[in-house]
Amino acid sequence: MELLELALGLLILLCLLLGMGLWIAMSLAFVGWVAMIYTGQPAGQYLASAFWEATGSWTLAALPMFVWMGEILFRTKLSEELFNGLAPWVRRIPGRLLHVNILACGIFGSVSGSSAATCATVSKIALPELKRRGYDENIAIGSLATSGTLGILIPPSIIMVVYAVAAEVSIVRVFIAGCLPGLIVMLLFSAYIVIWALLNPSKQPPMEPRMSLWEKLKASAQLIPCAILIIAVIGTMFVGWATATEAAAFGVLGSLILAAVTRTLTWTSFVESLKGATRLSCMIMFILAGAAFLTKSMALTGIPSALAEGVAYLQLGPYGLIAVLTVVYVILGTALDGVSMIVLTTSIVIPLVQKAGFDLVWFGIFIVLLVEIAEITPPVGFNLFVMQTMTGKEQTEVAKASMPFFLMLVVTVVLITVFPQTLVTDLPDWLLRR
Amino acid sequence: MRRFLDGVYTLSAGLAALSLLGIFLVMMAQVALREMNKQLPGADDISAYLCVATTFFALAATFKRGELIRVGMGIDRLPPGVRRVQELFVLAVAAGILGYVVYWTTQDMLFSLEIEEVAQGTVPFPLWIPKIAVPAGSGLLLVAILDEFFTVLGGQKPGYVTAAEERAAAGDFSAEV
Repeated sequence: MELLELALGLLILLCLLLGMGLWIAMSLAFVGWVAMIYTGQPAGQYLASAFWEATGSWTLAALPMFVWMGEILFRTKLSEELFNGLAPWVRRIPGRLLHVNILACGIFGSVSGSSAATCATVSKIALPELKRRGYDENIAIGSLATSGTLGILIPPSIIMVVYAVAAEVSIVRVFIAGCLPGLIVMLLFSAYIVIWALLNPSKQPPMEPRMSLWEKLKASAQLIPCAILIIAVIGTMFVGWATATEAAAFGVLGSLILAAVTRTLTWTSFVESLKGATRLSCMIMFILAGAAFLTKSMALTGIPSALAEGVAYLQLGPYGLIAVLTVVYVILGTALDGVSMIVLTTSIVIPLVQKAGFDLVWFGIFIVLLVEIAEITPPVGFNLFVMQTMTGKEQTEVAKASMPFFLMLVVTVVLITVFPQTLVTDLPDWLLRR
Repeated sequence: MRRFLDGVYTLSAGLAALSLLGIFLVMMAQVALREMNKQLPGADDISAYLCVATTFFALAATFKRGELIRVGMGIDRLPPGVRRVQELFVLAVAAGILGYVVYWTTQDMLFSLEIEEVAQGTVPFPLWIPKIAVPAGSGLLLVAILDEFFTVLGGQKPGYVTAAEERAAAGDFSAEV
């Protein structure tokens, strides 16, 4: 079992490098280099071509565009408009304004591709408002930390672009597949809030004043620009008018117009958004380059296919395999960020799930849900960090407040595993058939 | 020297930001021309090259600001003395890796120049020109790594750690997905 020893050795080396604090992209490249030298291939030439091919791709150009779009919207008053526009409509639902957290995150998620940005943008407005009106702090924090992760499940999504590029599947297909699971997550979160509110009547704040229908509609008119933006980005992609990259560029244009109309676009904010987007894109694409080299050398060692056969031999069955992978990803997610989680495992896991007969678009949604879970599991969960900074609370408190919502995400994972076609792959198949 | 180096990092990051802006402009031009039933020749290739430029030219600045991610869990708990040794060690390893990357990507670029390799698309761009971004950007990252190595050797806290701490304290999460 020489391969097994090699695989274990490489895994230990990777853990050591990462644990020592070596930058992720470099750790991936280094492990790739060791594997490549072991197989006796010309490592340097492979490295140069992997770096060039991984970053020089037209499909990947969608990534910096979506990142920039998020950076522009982060600097607008969009979250304020969302909160004010949605708040009048939830008065009669038990839990009331808490549902605005989920709706606002869901809607912001359909123009933003980042979980931390969604969480930070919506919380910035919602947290002080909820506190002022006397809502229970725990559930407000928990719901915001977790619904922020809708940013990466509801298209557009930076994590999905990374997955689609790494697994070589269509970006648009993965985007569409994320819609229904996103709605399910929102419904489950809201259902939990309703049940919690009915069980804890003592923790409910006084009722908000009644508004007339006209006033409600007037308040909701603020949602129109955001709605137009969603249609411009997602709509054009879903009906096949624009590719993901073009839709992303439209999104940038739309966001710039939205920022200009709401008078939040200044020269400084424009330059800052561009600089921020450049750095975030650079970080992600550098990791993709390192991972592309690792993937190449992994394929040359034959470890992924041997592992796939080994797992097939174990006869776990599809559900058993998914259960094992869920546990592995939850553990990985405690220490790694989403992008690394995906690129690190695609070279090994993709052949494995393919052999077990899973659809790669479905697997993308599965992995995104697990990245969402990773964002709220301590000690390393970016949404926890965001909420920590915003509330000044301890990480364990935020994590505990997010616990019930964490369970709802697990329920969603189970649901999409039991009904993979109905909930995930049917919609893109149907929409893209023409 | 300090001001010169910081100037070069900023300049390179500016070039990367312009490349990102370039992707947007190319996309928009492509859509606009298509409406007029014309084509922007080689648009797909240009946006791919600009993507490479965005990545590599921004490396040094991104690294300096502590936005190239790593796993901080283990090292954050180290006592200051051990932490300093750890930073010196990973900076040395990183410098070794980047040295290797610069060497081989330069070879690759020179090889493209030698065999006059051109793009397969509608416009036969000579590939060595966009390929320059890879060794140039990686080279500047190598300089930034050595820069930090000597900072830490001189007894100071690495700049990327300070920058990341400042951002976390200010509640700026723009560097996360």
